[in-house]
Amino acid sequence: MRLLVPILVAALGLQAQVPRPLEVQERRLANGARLLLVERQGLPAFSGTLVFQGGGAEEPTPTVGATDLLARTLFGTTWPEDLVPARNQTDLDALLKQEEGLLEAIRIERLRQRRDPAAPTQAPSLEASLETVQSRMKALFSSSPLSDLYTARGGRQKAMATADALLAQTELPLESFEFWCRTEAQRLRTVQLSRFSQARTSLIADLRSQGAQGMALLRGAALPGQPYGRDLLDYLPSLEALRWSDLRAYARRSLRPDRMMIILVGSFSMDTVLPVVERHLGTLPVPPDGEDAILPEIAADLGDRRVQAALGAGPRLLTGWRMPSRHHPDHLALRMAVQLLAGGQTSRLQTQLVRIKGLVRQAQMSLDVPGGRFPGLLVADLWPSDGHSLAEVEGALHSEILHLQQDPIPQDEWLRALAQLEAEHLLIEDEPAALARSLGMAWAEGGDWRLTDLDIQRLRALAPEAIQAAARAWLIPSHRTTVLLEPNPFASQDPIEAELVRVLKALASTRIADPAQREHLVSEGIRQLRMLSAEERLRTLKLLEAQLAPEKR
Amino acid sequence: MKSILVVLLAFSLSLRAQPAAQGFSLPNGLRVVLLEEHEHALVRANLHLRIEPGDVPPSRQGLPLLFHRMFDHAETADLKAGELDRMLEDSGILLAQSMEPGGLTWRLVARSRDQDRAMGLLADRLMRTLIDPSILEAQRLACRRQVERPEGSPHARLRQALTQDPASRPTLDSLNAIRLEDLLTFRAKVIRPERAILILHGDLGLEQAKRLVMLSLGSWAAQEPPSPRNPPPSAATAPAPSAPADAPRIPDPGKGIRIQAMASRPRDLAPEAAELLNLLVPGNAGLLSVQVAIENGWLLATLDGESGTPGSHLWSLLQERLEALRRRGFAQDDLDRARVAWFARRSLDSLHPEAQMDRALAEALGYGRSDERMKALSLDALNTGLRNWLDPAKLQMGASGDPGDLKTLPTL
Repeated sequence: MRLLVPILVAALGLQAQVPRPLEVQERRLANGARLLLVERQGLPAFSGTLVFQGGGAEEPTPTVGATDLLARTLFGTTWPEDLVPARNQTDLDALLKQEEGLLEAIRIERLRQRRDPAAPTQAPSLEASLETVQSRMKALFSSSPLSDLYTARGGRQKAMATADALLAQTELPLESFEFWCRTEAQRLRTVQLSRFSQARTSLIADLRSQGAQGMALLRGAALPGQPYGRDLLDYLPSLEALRWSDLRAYARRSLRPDRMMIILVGSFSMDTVLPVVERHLGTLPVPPDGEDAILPEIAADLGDRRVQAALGAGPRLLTGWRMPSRHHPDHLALRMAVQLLAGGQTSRLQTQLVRIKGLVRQAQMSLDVPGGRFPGLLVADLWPSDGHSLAEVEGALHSEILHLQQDPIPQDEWLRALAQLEAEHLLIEDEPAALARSLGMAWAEGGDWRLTDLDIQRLRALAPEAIQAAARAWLIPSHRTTVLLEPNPFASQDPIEAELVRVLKALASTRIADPAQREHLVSEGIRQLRMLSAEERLRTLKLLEAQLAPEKR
Repeated sequence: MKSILVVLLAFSLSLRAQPAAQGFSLPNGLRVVLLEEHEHALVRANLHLRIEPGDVPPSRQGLPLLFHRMFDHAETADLKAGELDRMLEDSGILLAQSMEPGGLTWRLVARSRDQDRAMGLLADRLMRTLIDPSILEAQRLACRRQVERPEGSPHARLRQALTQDPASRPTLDSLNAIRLEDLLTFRAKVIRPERAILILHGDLGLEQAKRLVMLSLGSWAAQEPPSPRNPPPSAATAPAPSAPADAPRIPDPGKGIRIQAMASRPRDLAPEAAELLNLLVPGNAGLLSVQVAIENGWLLATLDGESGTPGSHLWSLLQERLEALRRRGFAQDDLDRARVAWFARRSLDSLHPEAQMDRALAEALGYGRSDERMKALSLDALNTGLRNWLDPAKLQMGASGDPGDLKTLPTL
């Protein structure tokens, strides 16, 4: 027996030093839902994640934005009136239907008014009725943030809509596990969406406030006609027309048990968890087979495309190459290419473009934009430093791509990139919610949650030549789309630039009569002046001001 | 004997789940807290250096920001530019420096097999970083740009403008006034082992941690400040805190107006009361369309209007709603429910190593939350805290939106 003590101590010590492989148990529930369990013994809390395959990319055109709306209104909060059938439940359903009718009537009335502004309108009376209905609904809503069922139990929840999946993540104390299963099952059975109109208004307001985005321009130009190329901002009218009952119907069709994965990380065993999950989430009904979304094929070599736009606060170069989906054998090689080019402070773009040449102040690269289930984009996002043009930056980027394709990759650089990816993998494993997200996305994008672990093993076995071959096959002009973003000089936040615009306009007005020509001249002048440093611009401003009549200075 | 072994095993398992804080200090004054956790072969270290109000001389607002940039871009001892980064990344070590309310923080994550190297590099960074006069102007320019033309959306810029305490908000004059010797004096005052708290988390035991910290940071000693050639101006010449007329207005052409009010957490507010207000205020139905969030000790209230909505109306509406909540306060039932939720939520920290480290740091800095004080918190104390936090005199307000709409705002 005395021997047991040192053995135990040694075993605990060993446990402390040797990294364990990721242990995931998988089961299939009766209704087709998948359950993954990662045991983390002794944790007093757990992480529970629901992943639904098929995100924004699978939305039919009339319901574009539905995944984002479901993330906000179905999974963003957990109000009792959305789950527990109560005395006033019938009232709430009736009010939601009335609200839907009034919202639709107001929308149509506004469209009619736009076509014929002189015609008599019923909008004010409809709006008054809507206000009455909404105030009656609010009386049925919970009034305290602690009425949220998870918050009251110390929990946290968040939901995320991606192009390939909808993820709903919850963290709760361990004793609330069965409560979580029951609540999620009830949520999916009821699909009440009581705060639908608020969520839609807030989504529309967010989209309007962020305005046009450079990344959306790139996606649209690089992936024309593809759901991955869609910009939600272009679908505001259909989002405004989307009704409560449409979204409910969409949720019932798309949030099916056979497209759902339940991922649990916590101090559980499969024996204790499985019966509870079966009892609640395993009894969700399976709707009749729907049609799988068929996405149009897109050729990677559509030709070299260029877009120039005046947008945002500063000049920016976005370059996207059409790349294969996560299933493709070259996908991992491209992941390593991104790591070598932009993964960390010693990566090639950071070293060459930021530190040594000072051409850009920020360089990022990302893979699988906006998703990895279908062919998407590999994107380089570069922000030029003051005094450097987009053309210079573009040339330098292409030169780095050519180096990667042609020159042998040094061993130390290769090992550094691998070490960074391994450390990143360990960090993901260490945090339950991050691990669940990674497993869920591997399943939603690549069809297999094991890719989380397999990818890192395959990366270790990859040869540098494979990276170069993939770079030569995919990072080529015919796969490329370039977006050159220049800030709009007339909405500039830079005080020197705003002053330059004023002075140039005043000077141009004395010489050019045509306003369009004048505006073009000022824009071009500002574009040229951006190549100068701040001090040179200030000096130029003073010189230009000196040419103005004293009363105009 | 068997039962003893079972207890030993259970104890070791519970240690893994909820790492108990183990503290020790080095002879140079560095305080260390270890949270031992062997689930993964990872070690995390957070080193926090406290900045005190007296560290920034009058009329030198922005000194911590400029120092942070200088330090972050400086070279370390005899290493060439980029060499430290290469050594870190060779082992997949993550090291980030950040300026947070109340201090400077270095966050380090490494595989446990690289812990010696990682801590050695952190120590090099702290003890052997050279303040390079040749980058002073470039970094001053970067700070000036941040002040003049902060990047990001108008909403982000409004928020940034409001979260700066007017008294410590850098101005172009204050940034231009900072000299190299101010930076060296600041370094000598702040980068000191007795000012620092090191939180370690992960795959290392107490003896291992002591050895590791002693080897890497045991020789850390404060540097002497340079003898001042021109003493900085006295406190009497310091500019007065900005008047409310400085309320930021950020132009956002064509966009709807956004009114925001920010209030920093009152210094005398008990941390337990702040935690419960964090559960009770955001999302409170009485605020109607006003969105409230509490983050990093700031209460942030936001009210958005469509383009064309009179700004003055929104401005007063936001004030009225906050004032109504302030007067109404909370009931005993609210307090009880918030307390139950707070006790339950503590277990969630076990899922987030960084949260465990932040909690340990808060406790080491003396503003940790205590179960006993939470149980004893009275309704009166909670509502007094709310009234102080939402005191209209302490609210900083600002707006973003179309320049035409901004003109309709009341003159403060």
